[in-house]
Amino acid sequence: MGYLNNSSIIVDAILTKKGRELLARQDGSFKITQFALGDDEIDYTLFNENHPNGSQYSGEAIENMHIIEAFPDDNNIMVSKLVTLPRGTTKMPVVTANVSKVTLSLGSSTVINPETLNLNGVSTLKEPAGYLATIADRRLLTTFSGVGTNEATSTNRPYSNSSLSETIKGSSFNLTAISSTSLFGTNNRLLTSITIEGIESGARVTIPVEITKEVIAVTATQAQTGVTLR
Amino acid sequence: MATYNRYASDDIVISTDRVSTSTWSNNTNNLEVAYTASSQAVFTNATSSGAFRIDIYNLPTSSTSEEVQYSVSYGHRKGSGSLDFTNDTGSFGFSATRDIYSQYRNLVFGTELTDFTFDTVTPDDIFVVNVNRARYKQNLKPGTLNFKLTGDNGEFLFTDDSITKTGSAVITNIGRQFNLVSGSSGVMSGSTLGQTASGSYGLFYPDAGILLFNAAAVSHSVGLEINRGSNANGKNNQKFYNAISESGYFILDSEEKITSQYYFTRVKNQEFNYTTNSSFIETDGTLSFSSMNDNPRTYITTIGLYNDNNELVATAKLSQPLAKDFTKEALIKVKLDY
Repeated sequence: MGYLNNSSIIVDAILTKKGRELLARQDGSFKITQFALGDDEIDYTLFNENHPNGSQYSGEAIENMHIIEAFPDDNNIMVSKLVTLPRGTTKMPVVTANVSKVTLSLGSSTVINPETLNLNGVSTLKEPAGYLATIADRRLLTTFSGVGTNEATSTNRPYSNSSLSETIKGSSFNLTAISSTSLFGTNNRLLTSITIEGIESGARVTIPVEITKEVIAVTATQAQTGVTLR
Repeated sequence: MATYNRYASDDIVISTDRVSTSTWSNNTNNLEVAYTASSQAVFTNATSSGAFRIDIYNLPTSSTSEEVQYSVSYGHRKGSGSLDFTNDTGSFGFSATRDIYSQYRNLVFGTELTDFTFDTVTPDDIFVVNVNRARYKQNLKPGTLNFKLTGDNGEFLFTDDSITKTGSAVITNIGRQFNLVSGSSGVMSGSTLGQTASGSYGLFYPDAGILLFNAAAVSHSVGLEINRGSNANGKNNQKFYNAISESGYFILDSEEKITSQYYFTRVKNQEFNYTTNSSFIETDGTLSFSSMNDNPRTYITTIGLYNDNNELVATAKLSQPLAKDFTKEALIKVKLDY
């Protein structure tokens, strides 16, 4: 990765990994219809409110920054987005979830239930438009579905021997870990992450996900003999 | 409140442009010096690779970054000039040069019943310069060919007649066909296509990357001795390459059509003046800078292009952060090449 020539104002786009995948599918899912703006590498603590030359120079350090070239990892670019809010807003929306980390054993399930603080003057609420959940490695889940909004989605994943992300919509999200140990190799756990973003607020939270190779013994009911392993 | 803005139909524009570059590796304009590989240009027996073609490299093969630029072949309709695969009754004339002639004849005409004719003359043999596929993008660019051969009769400069010729090119099974003529940069010397008693100099197929020379005409003009003996290890392609190498002048461009999609990204004054950047806010969402309460200022560095499922399919970066507040608007043109 190199530095962009800052004497140039040409803006060339590159396809992300997800873009390449969708383009290869040739099912129309690649079609670009909307945009968002990001400021990933900006550190606003460089904004100097007390600049000796006056407030016009407050952004001097930021405005002279040399920007790094775009890279194709859709999970790690556009992490912080610019949002449209009414003038005078003093508190930005913040997305929280019912869990700070997800740990699943083989075949087990959980639900992630996000909420948004400070949205439209309300301290805590579910965003009416729902949330986007993006898992960095979809192979680790057998079920990854959104519930609770009209646009809740879940798709079948193409076979892949490397990680592929998937983004779904919903107001809460069901996750079920894989039952097979084929992806583990010699590892005892597999790690990925889920990023949940409020569609309206743009605020996001990233939750680490850990799938353990652990085999859980389930207590047998009276009529059964032995122990069921899963 | 919004994070994603939809493009209007007139915000997306498709444009197709032709881009041309030099054909040779490292964008070398004139392939002045070239090399063969002793391991490839072998003529030991009838099936040796050199009997079919000689690969020409931009660097010595001892280098780690040499690349094949083009190959040189000699073809004969009756198989003369190379050793028979089996020199016996019933298989005389079945040799590498016959393979070559038949191969290109089938490629161009799609039939074994038509032979190469160069302005009414139908010779038995051809020289072929086949530009390596990796060297040109979509096709060779007609009108850019400048190719010299040096022989006993001196130095001769050849080109195609794409600029001199009026009207459309002849279309063959391997795309457009122009004539190879004496001249430079697509302009023919004189007004007669049949520049020798042996017919015109050859044919140029830019879409397939092939220059196909009339061996009789070239040998007559340039002064190149061709061994047309039956079951003879003639090494005629090597003689032809020597004539190329001695002149050290081979200029040829390639071109491709690039389809670009332009996304006119319009950022209005009321939009995108706040950010979810963690350095902009405290953990509870409060803005980090009191001066931003009334007049927030953000900096655009990245444009994300999304589909209807909010999946990030393409991304672009600005060369410098672009300040945005309630008094500023921006129009950013994002270009995506296919």
